[in-house]
Amino acid sequence: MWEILETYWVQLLIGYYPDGPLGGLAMTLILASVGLVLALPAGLTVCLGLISPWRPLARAVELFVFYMRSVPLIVHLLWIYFLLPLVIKGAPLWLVVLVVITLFNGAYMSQTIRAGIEALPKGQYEAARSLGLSHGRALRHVILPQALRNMLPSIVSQFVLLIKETALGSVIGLHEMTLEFMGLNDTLGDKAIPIFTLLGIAYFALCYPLTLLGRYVERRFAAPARSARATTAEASAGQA
Amino acid sequence: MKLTLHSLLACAGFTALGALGTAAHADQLDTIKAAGVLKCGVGSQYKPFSFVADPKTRKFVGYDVDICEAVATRIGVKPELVFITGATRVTDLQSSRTDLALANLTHTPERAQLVDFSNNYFATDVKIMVPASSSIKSFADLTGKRMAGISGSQHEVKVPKVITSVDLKVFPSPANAYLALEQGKVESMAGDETTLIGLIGGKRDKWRILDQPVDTQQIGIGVRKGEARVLAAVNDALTELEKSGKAARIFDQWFGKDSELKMTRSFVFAPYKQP
Amino acid sequence: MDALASIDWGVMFRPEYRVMLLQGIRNTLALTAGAIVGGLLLGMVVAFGRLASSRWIRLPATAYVELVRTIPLLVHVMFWYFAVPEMLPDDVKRVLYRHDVGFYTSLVALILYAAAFISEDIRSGIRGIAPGQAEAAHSLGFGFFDTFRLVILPQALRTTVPPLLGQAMNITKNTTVALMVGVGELAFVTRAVNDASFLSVGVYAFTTVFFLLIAIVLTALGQWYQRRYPAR
Repeated sequence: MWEILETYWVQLLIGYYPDGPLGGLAMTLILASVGLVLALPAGLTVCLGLISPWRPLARAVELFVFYMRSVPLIVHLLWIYFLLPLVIKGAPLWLVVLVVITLFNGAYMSQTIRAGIEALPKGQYEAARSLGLSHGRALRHVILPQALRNMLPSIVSQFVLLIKETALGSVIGLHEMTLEFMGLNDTLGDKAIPIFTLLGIAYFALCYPLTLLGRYVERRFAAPARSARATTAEASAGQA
Repeated sequence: MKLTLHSLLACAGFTALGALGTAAHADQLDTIKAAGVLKCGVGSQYKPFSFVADPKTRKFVGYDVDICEAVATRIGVKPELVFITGATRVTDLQSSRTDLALANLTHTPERAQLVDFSNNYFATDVKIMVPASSSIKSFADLTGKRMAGISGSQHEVKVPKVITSVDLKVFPSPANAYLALEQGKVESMAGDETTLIGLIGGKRDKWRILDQPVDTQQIGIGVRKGEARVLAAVNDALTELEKSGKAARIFDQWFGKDSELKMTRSFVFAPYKQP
Repeated sequence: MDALASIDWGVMFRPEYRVMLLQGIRNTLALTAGAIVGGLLLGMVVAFGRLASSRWIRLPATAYVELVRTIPLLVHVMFWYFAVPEMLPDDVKRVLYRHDVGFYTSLVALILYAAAFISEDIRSGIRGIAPGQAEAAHSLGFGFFDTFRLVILPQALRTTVPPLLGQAMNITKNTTVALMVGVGELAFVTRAVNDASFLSVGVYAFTTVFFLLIAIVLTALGQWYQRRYPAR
């Protein structure tokens, strides 16, 4: 099994770069990381819409979140694969996947952020307002910093979910790690068992330490976020 | 604060809608020359059209790779390989993810409505392959059996026309289909003769290709519809390759006497002939 | 933008695609139902395993959950479709390959994946019941099974059913992954019709509405349940 790694490790790591497109583990990690960095502000924006006092906006955003959560990720990918090139000519595959995971995880994280905000004692917001801070300032300087700190464990577990989601990029032909291994399976024919065992080990080696890190962070930052974690990270956790 | 946030969101929404109107339509040849790159849509594991021969160098080689290079040089830009699949090569061409569509794109009247085709640069028959030990000897024996086809090729359309009641299972790439055949998940496989020979490589005695062709195909390079200058440039490159003899040499290297397939060249680069 | 110019909302109902469509929906529902039932059964077993007092049961159960949850479902499906059949003895393999390998291997992968998450939900549901309940039941003379059946389970159900409905939704969405191994479920049919007709909008819209309807039904079910049996 390890001879396969020995022969093909470069391709599995970085695809065909620099003579060809970037792929493999590098693509998986870069996509997941950039996706996380983009999903956070996206989730924040969506969350602000959710808690907005203006009812029509809140309703519209709720419908958006419901839509993102109800439709399978693969269907989202098919839609954006079709629509994105109409807006951005020649949009590359990784961009399609990035847009999808940003919107998708943004929608999920908006719920996490909202739960994180609502888990804070009401007194915080009231005290901020009574000190003369506007709604926006209260959010920015008092509520959100505390909420985001409580959400740290959720952010780590969201990163694990993102890594797993990148695997679906293979459905539209993106050369991330899963597709590289699949290509190897096609080439080598009778080596399916070692190839897919290796692939499983690769994801496990990536995600398990991160999962442990998330649990450690949760212990350090303790109780108040309990309800936040329960409702959202678990809800999205059962997905492909 | 309320007003600012909401007007910001509204602005973002309108901008997004506006972007849908998209930019002015520059001629594609100018775009290619300006970018300095010709994006060729090729398969990522399509022996012997585009594949990696040596895992250490991870360099792509093959018939399509050489053709792409020749056309790019003619236009005066660098070639860039973009991976496509049988199912996506037309839409990738239309969405400008690729400038040219290769990967054995058969010239058919239905496709000609979606893309423009260059002169023929390849020709092959679609044939059926079975294990050498199989009892299948003719199309009649295939009734009720399972066959692997390749998505985005013409198999789903052409095969049922000549073979009755075959259980056609479609796979995303020739390599996938061949793997299914090797594992016994199907009893037969449809494919271009050159693709089939390319897949079995040295294991000629394990497989048998039925003589009777399903269809004869002329293969051209796909160009985005309406881009006359790109089409002319591609055809010029192809004519030049044929005249200089380089076309024959490229064929020999991947399909003919210098390869392990040892096929004879049955075609020349020439305009499409109505069947 | 000629792709948007020709929109046929009813493209999936055209005679040439109708048969594929019905088979696609049938396969999706079959995979979903199978995975929900299998996932529930296996999930319960694993949940009890994780709560067991013996280390020999607890550790394998925990290892199973941790392993399955950190690997993407697509990789599970690939493993079961490509690798596992090759591990079987030749005659079993030949029998398997004569049938729809893709469907059965995808079902197994879906069940194993769902069970890992369901077991977590069941486990937290049971653990959420104050231990005093079980102790009180024991001191009143209830045996293990009676304690569970009459005291723990009814209370655990109230907190567990909503997340389980969420898992049901996840399972429904997860069946789309099977398209990668050729299973003709709805997402596979969606792609096939799109490749054949190039009428993407109508095709994708149909599939989207299908999943939205399922989501609406499940959400309504969850809301009804929470109103009827609020978690105290």
